[in-house]
Amino acid sequence: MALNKVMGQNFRAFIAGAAVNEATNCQVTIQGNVEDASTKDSVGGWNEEQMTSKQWSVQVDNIDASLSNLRALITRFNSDSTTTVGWDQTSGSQNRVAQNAAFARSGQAILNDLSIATPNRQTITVSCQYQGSGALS
Amino acid sequence: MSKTKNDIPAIEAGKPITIEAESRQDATEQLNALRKQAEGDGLTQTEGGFIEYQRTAEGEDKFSAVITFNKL
Repeated sequence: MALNKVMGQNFRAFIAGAAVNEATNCQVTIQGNVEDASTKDSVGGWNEEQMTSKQWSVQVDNIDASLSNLRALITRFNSDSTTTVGWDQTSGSQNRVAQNAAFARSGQAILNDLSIATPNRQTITVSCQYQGSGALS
Repeated sequence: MSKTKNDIPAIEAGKPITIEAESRQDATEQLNALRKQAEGDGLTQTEGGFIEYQRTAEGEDKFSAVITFNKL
């Protein structure tokens, strides 16, 4: 195994400038929407595509079921406003210190999907999806 | 909280420092300069350092970060 690989625990989502508390997973999705731009000049039977729009989102799962976190998330959802969302490689105390890795990016995003799972006698899990609004840079 | 742009401020343990830049690369260089200075002062980065990107209402790119060092 190459030593310079980024391990999952060191790839963390940052919301409003801080690494997400007690996170267990984060998933970054960057998508481009394309349309067929093929013409009669296109040869070989292959489509030619062109990008029409781009979108990105970050999904974060965590087990921070503190009252303050749940209240903050619901308030953020209700606000309909954007917040800074991104990701970076981390290390240090509690593994929350950003390293400004070459793949780190951030942008403004809206909390558009919030789910709280509360199974009896088990840890509460919180899942949030932030949909990017504008550029990722 | 002290604030800087392209200059390296005096670093105080536990006191957050905000940096601003017009590019991610510039922001990273400012943070690295702070880290180097902090290392010389015997301090360690304990919080922050995440570069936030925002496009202003005027259409300009703005990159900022808050970083904190402490004596461990």
